[in-house]
Amino acid sequence: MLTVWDHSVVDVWTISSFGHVLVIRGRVLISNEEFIITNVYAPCDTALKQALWGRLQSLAILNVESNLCFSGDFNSIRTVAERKSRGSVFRQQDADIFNSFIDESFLVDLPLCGRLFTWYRGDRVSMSRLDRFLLFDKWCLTWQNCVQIALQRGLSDHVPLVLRSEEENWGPRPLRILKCWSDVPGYADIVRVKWSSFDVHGWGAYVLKEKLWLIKGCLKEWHQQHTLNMERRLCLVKDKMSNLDSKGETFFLDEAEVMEILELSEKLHSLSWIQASMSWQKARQNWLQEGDANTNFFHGLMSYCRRRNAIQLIQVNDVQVEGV
Amino acid sequence: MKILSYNVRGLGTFEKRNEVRKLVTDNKPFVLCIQETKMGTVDEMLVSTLWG
Repeated sequence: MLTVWDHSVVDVWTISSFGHVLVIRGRVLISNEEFIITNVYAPCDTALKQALWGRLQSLAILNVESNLCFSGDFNSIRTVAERKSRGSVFRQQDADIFNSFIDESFLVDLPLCGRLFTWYRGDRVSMSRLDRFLLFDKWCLTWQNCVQIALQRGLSDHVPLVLRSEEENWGPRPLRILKCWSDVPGYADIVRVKWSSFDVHGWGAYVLKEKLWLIKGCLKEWHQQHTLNMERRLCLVKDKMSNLDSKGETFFLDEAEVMEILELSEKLHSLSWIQASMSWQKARQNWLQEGDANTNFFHGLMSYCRRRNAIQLIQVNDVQVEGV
Repeated sequence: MKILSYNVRGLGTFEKRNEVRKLVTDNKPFVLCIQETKMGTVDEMLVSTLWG
């Protein structure tokens, strides 16, 4: 076994090896993301494999928080569909221990693009998917949109596999506004004043783009002062109100206090209205809001959905079109 | 991030090394994982024929 890396792209500081495994730890120079890449060449014997899965699983448990990837020839398949041969040589027990290793280590097994199998015996009849990349959830979050591609077969009876992640460029982020902002007094004024204060020169579309970008920053700041954390704002108003209420139960309130109660009640209503409007608008991204408390889980869910929905390959009249 | 994994089935011959080198230049992986080199020792020379 051999692991080679490009010094100009990654920095590797630890190399270790144990039976059938070669581990490197390092980081990607540009993004500073750390990784553990494990090169695996599994034996054929079921008992030896089981022992190997055990060792890999303990490596996985020790490095739960890392960007960990197992890559190589696992000499195992997960389902009947991953092998094609003349006779039936599918060993359920073999697949079961491999599957439980993958499940118990919480590994992501990406679909294979380009081919169904990675190993082709010379008889042209037997073929299986013996090689693969198994990734940690964390890996998929760090390098999103990972795809596993089988390349052309060459001199070896195995196919080279590539795991790559591509940053999708969705263009500049759009300017989004909350409908409720217009219900807050002073909003229209601040937008008008800020908009005319920007001094941008150039052709029309450029000026518009720049001004939208500049106002986005102002609105963000304004949002933080006025409409951020409505829950807390409502609580404060309610607290003040109940203080005055309980005071009113035992004493007589003076005129100023009565006025304050009226003002507070009005404020409570308008804040509730703003909050409702905000929730209404955000309803579609509710899971994102909820996700703040459980980001990893929701990001995992999201990348899973994206993986599932991505179209890697289309077959048109027996012609396969990739990279669509 | 880009990793290339290949069970090369022996890295002793010139053709195999050439093939791996071609894979590396075409795909430009960050890390290359090779299985079944079928070689007792791997020296700098060999690596430089693979990666250049």
